Amino acid sequence: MKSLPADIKTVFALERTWALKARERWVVWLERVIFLAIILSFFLNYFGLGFWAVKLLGGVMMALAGWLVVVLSVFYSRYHFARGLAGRHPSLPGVSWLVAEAVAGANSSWLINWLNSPVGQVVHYRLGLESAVLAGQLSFANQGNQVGEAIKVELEQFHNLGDLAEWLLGAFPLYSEAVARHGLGATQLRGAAAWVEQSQSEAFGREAWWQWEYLAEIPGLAKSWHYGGTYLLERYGRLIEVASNRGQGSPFLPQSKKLEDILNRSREANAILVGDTDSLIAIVETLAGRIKAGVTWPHLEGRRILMLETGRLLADSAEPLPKLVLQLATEAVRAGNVILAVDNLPRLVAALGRAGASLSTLLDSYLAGRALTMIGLTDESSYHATLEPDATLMNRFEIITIDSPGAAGLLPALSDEVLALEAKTGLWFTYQAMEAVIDNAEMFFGEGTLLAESADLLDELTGYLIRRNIKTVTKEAVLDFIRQKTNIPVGEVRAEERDQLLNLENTLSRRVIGQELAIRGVAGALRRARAGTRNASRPIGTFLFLGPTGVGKTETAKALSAALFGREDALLRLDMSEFSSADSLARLIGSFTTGQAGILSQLVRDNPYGVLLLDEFEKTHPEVQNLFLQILDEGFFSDMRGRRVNLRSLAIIATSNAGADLIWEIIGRGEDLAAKEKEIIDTLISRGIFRPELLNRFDATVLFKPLGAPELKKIAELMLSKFAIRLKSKQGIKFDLTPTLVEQVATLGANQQFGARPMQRFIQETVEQMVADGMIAGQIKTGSRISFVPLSMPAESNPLGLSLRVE
Amino acid sequence: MLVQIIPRYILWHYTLGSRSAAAFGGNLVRFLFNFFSIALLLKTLFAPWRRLGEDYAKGLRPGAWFETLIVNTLMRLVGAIIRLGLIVAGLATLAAGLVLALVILIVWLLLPIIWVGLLVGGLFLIVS
Repeated sequence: MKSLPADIKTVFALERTWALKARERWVVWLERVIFLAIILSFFLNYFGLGFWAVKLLGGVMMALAGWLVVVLSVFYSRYHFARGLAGRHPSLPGVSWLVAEAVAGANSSWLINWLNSPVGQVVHYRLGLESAVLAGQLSFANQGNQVGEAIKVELEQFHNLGDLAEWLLGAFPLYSEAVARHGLGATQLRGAAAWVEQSQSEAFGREAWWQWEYLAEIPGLAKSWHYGGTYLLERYGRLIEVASNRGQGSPFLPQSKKLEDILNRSREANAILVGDTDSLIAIVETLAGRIKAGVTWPHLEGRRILMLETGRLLADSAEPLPKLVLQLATEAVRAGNVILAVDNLPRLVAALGRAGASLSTLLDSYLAGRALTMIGLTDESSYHATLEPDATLMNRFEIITIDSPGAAGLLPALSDEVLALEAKTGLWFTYQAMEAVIDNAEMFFGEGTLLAESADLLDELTGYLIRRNIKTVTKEAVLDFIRQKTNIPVGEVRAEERDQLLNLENTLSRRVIGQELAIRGVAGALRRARAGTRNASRPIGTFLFLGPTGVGKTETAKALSAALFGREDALLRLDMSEFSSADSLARLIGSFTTGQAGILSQLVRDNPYGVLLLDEFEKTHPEVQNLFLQILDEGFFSDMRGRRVNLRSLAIIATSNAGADLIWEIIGRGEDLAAKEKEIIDTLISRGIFRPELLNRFDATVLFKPLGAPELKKIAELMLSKFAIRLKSKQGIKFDLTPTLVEQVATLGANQQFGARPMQRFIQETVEQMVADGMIAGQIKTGSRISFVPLSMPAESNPLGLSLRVE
Repeated sequence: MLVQIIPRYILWHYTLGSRSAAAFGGNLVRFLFNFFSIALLLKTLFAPWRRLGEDYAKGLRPGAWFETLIVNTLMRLVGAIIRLGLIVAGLATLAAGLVLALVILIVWLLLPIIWVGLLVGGLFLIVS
């Protein structure tokens, strides 16, 4: 094994003896003491105590000597930290400085050195672990000498801290077991190591401020004197100003580089970015950051990006729009250093069209050459609808289509945001908390890009944590916030919730009578979802309820809403039979041509957490069923403006009484309904009611059987009990439920076609009506006890066939 | 520990450290040159101030043509005066920077002697 060079070892030895941070603090204190001593010596001299003043000055000189030693040692360390190993030690090509620091300890075991090194401690602390404690435990448990064993390995195989951490996990089973006990694995350790390395390398560089790359970032005077003013552009737009490091960790770096290549052309240096607004703005900001850092094409150096705000432009009616656009373009060309970005190019093109002009004819001579550099931003649907048909315009622009980065590409960008947030607020994020932010942003806030959603979640979370005076942000703190915000249980299953989940069948069957099979199916699917096997990019649960009318499908949805979200009004209901015409899709998601917002988009945006009930799903238009193919699969759809609508925090229940005839037949034959599920589904497919790909996308198809006499009695009893409770609590009247009454309501209030659905109405028209009449007539008062008894003579005016008895 | 660090430090001080101190001097001069944009200002000394100016009128209109010429010349003159002012200020700062860079390098090289001087001088003042 190649060992570390001696001078590097010395730097680490110094660091272990007296850490750089501590030395920096000493420097500050010594400076204060020396300053005070100098002032004091002047006073002593002034008051005639010259002898003591000289002694004090002697002390000051010695303190200065001490200060010098500390300052030089600080420079020594900062110099090495900033330069790292690169270029200085060809024997260790590509090995990062922090890898060297991590293994440079005095112990013979790399693992113990890693755990005790400052960087190892920070990495473990980011994972919520105390690495010193871990080192102690491992040394103590090290009976098989696994930890101290010298393993032959070359240092240069570790290019970064993540490589080393992952290798250590593999090489030392005791270590991987200890880490696994905290629910962590190689992915988290590697991720946390990469995060720490990214932040520390940057911090090391900044501390060695005298290096050219940092001095070069300070903007020069008078650079703008050479360029023209942009008064009009600044009136209708805004300058994109970002920090120079904005471009480095951006997940949009490749797209930004592609954009730079286009803007660097000698002619037609214009681009249209197609994608969602947040991603597009992020790319423009990445470009601005890279221009500021001076790492892009020389032709783009010193350029300023001015983002023209179409809304502001169109709101100003004082000037004709074509003239205004021409003035703006002329100003940009005259200024000489402007990259003109338009926040909504299709809107501007459409408005110019309405004003009898076109962007291509107005600006073609500018766009064809290099005089004007333009970036147009647009979403995909507007691009196809408005821009693509204009061939002349499209000739002058290159198109870049932007896909949002996934969770993996997001971590570096978000970790930058988290570091900035930590510096501002004093919070401390664990790596798992950051992971939880990304995971849950996808699940609960999925309307923009993942980056924007994560940043939004981070913002909201910060306020929540500061209000509660929480300093260390753990995964649990993030999940608590999500729980509080959405009322959806996330994270580990807690005791109370565990009981609720295990007793879900009981909870549901208290309200839904006679559907044990259906309840078992729903409860099982929900438990599976909650056990963590759930896919975060799909809705909470998706069910197709099949069965005749009035057997408890809607009641199950309501009960589910109460069980999942603690309230029945979390149920969002859409009667899908109203969406059977050709224009249904436009009504649901909104129409681009009429500008009408969609019913479904609006409903879900207003109520992102709950149970979406789609009644009579079989009656909906095939186009709408296609929309739900995507929703059931991906948990979102795009509305008319191309904005994503997120349904990942909803449970979706589609009900249908298609196939009810089959269910009746099966029950009539006395066969087991559960065993016939496949037969029913096959029939629905063969009848062309549902397509197989749609049925396959539901988590479960739940069959509801027709209700028999015993079930109807139970339902009647349940409904009457509710009325009895209402009477007792509001009027103080005791209502005795007699078996005769229950029997009558069950028999007369239900029918084969509508099941138990008419029962509630029957109770209202008979039982409740008779009680109300009795109260108005003064026959029933507070404290009365009432019951229904058989009539001695049947009467046509009394459909219940019972009379009211008051005691 | 000290026995290990002190020789290593002194070696660094007079090799890589000194090179770094010299590089810092160079960086400082380069930074000042860049900060005052001296190259750009010289290159654009007679360019119109902030690109302000008028376009020459088309057709034979000598009056308008001379009017534009005067305005444009004035803009160039204004630009040249302001730029010259900054160039002079920049050059003065650059000169000061050069001196500072030299002082830094000399002080850096003499630091161990200065350190001994401070220690001995301080001790002398205390005991005398």
